[in-house]
Amino acid sequence: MFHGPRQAWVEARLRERFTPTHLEVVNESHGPKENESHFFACIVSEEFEGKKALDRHRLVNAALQNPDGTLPFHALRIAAKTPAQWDADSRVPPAPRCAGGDK
Amino acid sequence: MMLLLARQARIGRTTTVRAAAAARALSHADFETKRHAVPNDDQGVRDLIGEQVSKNKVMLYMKGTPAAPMCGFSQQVVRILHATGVEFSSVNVLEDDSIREGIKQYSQWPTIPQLYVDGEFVGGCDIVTQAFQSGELDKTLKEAGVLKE
Repeated sequence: MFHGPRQAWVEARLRERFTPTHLEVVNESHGPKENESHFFACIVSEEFEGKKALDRHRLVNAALQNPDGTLPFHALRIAAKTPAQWDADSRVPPAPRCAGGDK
Repeated sequence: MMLLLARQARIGRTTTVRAAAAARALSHADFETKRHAVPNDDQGVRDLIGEQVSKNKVMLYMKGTPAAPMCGFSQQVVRILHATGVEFSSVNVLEDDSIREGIKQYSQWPTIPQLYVDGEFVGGCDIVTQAFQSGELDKTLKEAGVLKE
């Protein structure tokens, strides 16, 4: 299975930033996987303790953003859980189906 | 539905005609020739967005229109809003690059869709989905007075 350089970079950044107890990054690109345009990141970390979802996602975005605030790829789905939440429920939401525009 | 479309037209960026054109063909030419007068300076765009999120209790920045979403994430948020039964307004960011980039700056959030309720940024697709499932979204909508107790 294709595992590209951008995915490796995302994994390394998230590991470095959140020292996760569980990390899963999935290449969800709709076209060729080599595009590495869409990712899903499931991150389980103590860092998220006491933070609401919006703030957790902001932290994850910030770890991957370019200096100008953009992401270096098209789309990022995030599941950010604390170890306690992960132990209680390790289900993650499915990706929405692409509606075709993808622009 | 007509009410929804009328509200879109009122905020000036999205009309049913343009939405249909955008659904048929997504080319730059389409957007350029039909572009409305959106301010082209950063402050102007911020002011416009500020006005949109304050005048519309539930405001969705999305790709495409509620009737024809152009992205799965936007589509999912539209479905959730329909499921809650609230009336909402939307802007199709594909029709204007200054809004598309401006809303990312405004919210300090790198992706579309983006949902605002009562002038407050709620989140993107992941967070809206999570909030819908937990009941938090209903609570937010009730607090905003757009969903009956």
